[in-house]
Amino acid sequence: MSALEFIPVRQWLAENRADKIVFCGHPQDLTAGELRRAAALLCAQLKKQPGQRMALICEDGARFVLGLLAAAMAGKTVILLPEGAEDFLAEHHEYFDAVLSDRDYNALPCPCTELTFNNSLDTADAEAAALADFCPEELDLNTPIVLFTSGSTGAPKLIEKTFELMERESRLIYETIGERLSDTVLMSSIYPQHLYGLTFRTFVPLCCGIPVLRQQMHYTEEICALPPRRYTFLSSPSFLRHLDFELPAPDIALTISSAGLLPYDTAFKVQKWTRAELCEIYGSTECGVMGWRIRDNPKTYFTAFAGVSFTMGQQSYLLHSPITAQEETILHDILEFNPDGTFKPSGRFDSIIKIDEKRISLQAVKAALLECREVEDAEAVTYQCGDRLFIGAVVVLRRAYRHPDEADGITKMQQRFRAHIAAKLGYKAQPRRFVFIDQIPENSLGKRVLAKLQQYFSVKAAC
Amino acid sequence: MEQLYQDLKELIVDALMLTDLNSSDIATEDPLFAGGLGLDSIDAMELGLAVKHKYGVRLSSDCDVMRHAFYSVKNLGDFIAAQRPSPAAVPEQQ
Repeated sequence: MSALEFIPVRQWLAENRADKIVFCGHPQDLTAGELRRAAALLCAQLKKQPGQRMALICEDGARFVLGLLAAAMAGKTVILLPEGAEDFLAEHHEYFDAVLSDRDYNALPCPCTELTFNNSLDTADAEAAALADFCPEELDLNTPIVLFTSGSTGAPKLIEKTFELMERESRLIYETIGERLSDTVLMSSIYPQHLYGLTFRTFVPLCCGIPVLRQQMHYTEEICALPPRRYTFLSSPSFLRHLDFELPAPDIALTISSAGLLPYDTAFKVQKWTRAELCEIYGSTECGVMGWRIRDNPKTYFTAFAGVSFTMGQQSYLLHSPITAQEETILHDILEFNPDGTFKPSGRFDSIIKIDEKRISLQAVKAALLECREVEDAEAVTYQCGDRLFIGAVVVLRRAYRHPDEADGITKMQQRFRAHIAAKLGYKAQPRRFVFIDQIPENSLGKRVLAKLQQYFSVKAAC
Repeated sequence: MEQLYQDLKELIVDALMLTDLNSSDIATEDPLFAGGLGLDSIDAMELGLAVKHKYGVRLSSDCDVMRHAFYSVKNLGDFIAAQRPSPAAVPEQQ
């Protein structure tokens, strides 16, 4: 059992914790009391604002929690989009009524409220009333938090969580690895609005009572320049793989990796660099956390979290978990089990792939390409280049576009295709390479053989 | 500086394995990320490592400084040039 005390969501901002530092770092540390005050004022402001669905987009972990709690207390539904790019938001504006952000989105056709800790209301009386009305101890734990993930059709798949489910998940993690977080500050390279970030960058540290570094880490030099404290480092396989291990590591007590499988050689390098354990989490947006493992050797499989089990279904597994709303959740990952119940994922039953931890449907990429006026036919496949997986697009252009007038016509056309796909599906779904051919090859049965299409990329890639 | 910009374009093509692209397809002042090349934050980390290894420069720990430096080939070239000793400061070899 952890030495940490579990703090339920309704107690995060309790009066008796007012002096407790909950966020630290740039631009300044914040106590639970300061967060409560700012959330109360924002909540009063949001209650007067029309629109139910609030898209919450920000990198600063403290402002994220400010928006999350203020919106929930105002009775709004929080929408967590996978991308913050303006063209992506414009393309998906029908999914939200207003934006809460630390960025400026003036071009969007909906209200955009800046998340700030210097907020105020018109009069001192209004502020006093807002503070008196604000009671996070009475937060409705069934308030929804809606996340997006990639569906197989290309349309975003909406996943609804609640504060109650997130608290249950945090308790499960607290009971399993909570003691490893003691006396640390959580530092992260993960966006707070991804489920993994929502769980581990917001709910788990606040429920475990450890401070969170406000700013997000983007590269090694930022991490190495952090003030000397003991850190829990929350990251992902693609970020960890690209760390500069020649720089001196800060004092890291534990690294947590999720959102994709971490190759053991990277896990080994990270553990050598930090001289600390690495805990890998297996989970998904629909299912939450399912398994965990300490990467102390290459053959360690995942152990299911308490109460989590799997049964084989039709081209899928059925997940039984104490942290999902429904009794059974379909899981499209292929799992390999040991007799002792430990397991590891080894692929997917469907055509969903993961590029740098983001789930992408190749069918959706194909559909987006077919929406471009120049494209007559297309397929999207994956190819490996070095240690990264990329999307390659095989495109048949309509006759009128096969010989562009300008010298750089093909390059500009590729840029247009990428921009269209990024706006529809997010920037990770953009094909890295395009191959233009006259006809998509088919086998003798008239079927497209994706392995053959992949060869277009393996020959020239030479990596 | 033009030579440095050209070298950087070739480094970008090689380091990020943009095998369909010629260095001449990359405009010196166009945004490298969130733009037409389809590069992302992981590419930024890879490019940062490649630039450090090739030019021996130190990256700043200030994220805003680095965002500006990696905005375009021009900014990156200027960032590298600013860390190199100016020709006048280098003593001539006897």
